[in-house]
Amino acid sequence: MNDGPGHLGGTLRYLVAATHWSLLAGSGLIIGAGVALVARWPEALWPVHGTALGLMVGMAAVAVDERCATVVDASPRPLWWRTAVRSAGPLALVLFWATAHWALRAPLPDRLDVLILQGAVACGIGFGLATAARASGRSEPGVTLAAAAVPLVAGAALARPFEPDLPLFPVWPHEDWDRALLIWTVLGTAAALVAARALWRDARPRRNPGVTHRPDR
Amino acid sequence: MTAAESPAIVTVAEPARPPWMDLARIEVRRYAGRPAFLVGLVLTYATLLPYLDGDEPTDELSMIAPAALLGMVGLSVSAHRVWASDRCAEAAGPTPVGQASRTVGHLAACVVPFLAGLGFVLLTVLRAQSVPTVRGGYAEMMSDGWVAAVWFALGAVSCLGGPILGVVVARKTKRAAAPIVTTVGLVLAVIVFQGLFEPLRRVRVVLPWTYWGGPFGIDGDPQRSVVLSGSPGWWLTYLIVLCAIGAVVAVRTDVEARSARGRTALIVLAGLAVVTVVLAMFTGTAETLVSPVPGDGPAWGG
Repeated sequence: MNDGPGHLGGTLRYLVAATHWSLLAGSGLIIGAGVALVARWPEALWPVHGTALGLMVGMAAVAVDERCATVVDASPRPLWWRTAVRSAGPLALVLFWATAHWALRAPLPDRLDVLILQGAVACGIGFGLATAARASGRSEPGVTLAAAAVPLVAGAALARPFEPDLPLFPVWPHEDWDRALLIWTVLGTAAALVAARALWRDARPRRNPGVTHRPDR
Repeated sequence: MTAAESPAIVTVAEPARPPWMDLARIEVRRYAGRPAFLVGLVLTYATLLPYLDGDEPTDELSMIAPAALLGMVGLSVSAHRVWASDRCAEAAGPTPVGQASRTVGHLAACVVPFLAGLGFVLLTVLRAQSVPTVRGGYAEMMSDGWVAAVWFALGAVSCLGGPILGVVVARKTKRAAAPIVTTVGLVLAVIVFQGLFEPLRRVRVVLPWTYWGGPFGIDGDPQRSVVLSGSPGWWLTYLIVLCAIGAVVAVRTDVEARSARGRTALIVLAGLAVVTVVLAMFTGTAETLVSPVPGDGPAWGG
């Protein structure tokens, strides 16, 4: 790995080239508009919040996609380094999510901790699962993951199955927000562990060097 | 007849099948095996688990589960199936099966989520025969036929319409983000037109999914049940016409499949859609009906 004076420049160059800026900006706009709509009419438009969370999962997953994986995976930069650089996009999305909730907190439920954690964990799940798939050799698992995650999360937020026992998307003040906090913490920890395990296994010296690419489905 | 002659006789006797039928069988199997569909299916039917408690009233608002978890998810599943089969067709080179036949195969596969949604509706209707819906709710206020039309439209037809829309989207664009953007746009539109906003209640039936009743509240009782205006019977017809329009539009994206007959069919269907949606708006229940039973839930903010 290049540790000379050009290290920061190389990192920035990779960040600029690897991040889907237009997609990030577009999804940020939709998410911001969604949170603003929920804050304006919380009682009626609450499912939009879950839809925005689905979009967070999807966009974080797409951030991992490496179109030129066959070339890049053979380069000296390890996957963990590229994953760390690529996390800038989802981190920016989480920051934006938190800022939007903080700015519009007055009409929202009085549990900003849960609402912000939901966004952070949603990004973590998308990024973590896509990273694990990248480490297993897939080039662009994010698009496939996003295509399934966005409608499933939005659908779950609309239908809210098992909400009394598993309050994933609490809406009303009388719902169990503490349990929601616990559920999202567990989900976030699991996503982080999945990604960390995949990166650690990828970083280990291999008995048979070389990357085996698997077809994206 | 000798054993050597019999295969020739069987081949002659067998009627020639159009290629889309074989494709349909393959696509039905593939759709049923998609993980997103299976997750949605499990989550949908898991919402029926509370019915194991015999005292739990049948949920008149439960049709959101199949619509969201089978219909909306079906949009993405269908679109990605279409693209996957297109990639196979491109890799195979010139084949005797054209794009239109493949499209018909994908449209036939939409029967999988439809049947799953229909099963959910039938189970709910059967449950409602033995354990009634919540007291004072819209299902108690209206006739069995009215409720059945609403549930069939919301719980089954939506599971057909979402996947058909996915086929249309995939045939119109190759952009991977298109199903996601369509899903998000659809959710936003449906939430706005679900009937909570009074000025939009008449025109809400233009959307492919909307509520026909529920605890929308009145002044002084924010959880009071109401029945919204319109005719669910005509709306159901409108939704079926929309599905037919989607199917024709999807098939006609193949230039070779375009014909004057198809164009006429599209014009007739568009006319039918306009007529049925106007009838859905202005016939049936004339104004919002308010339940005589007070609501019992809390308002926003406690």
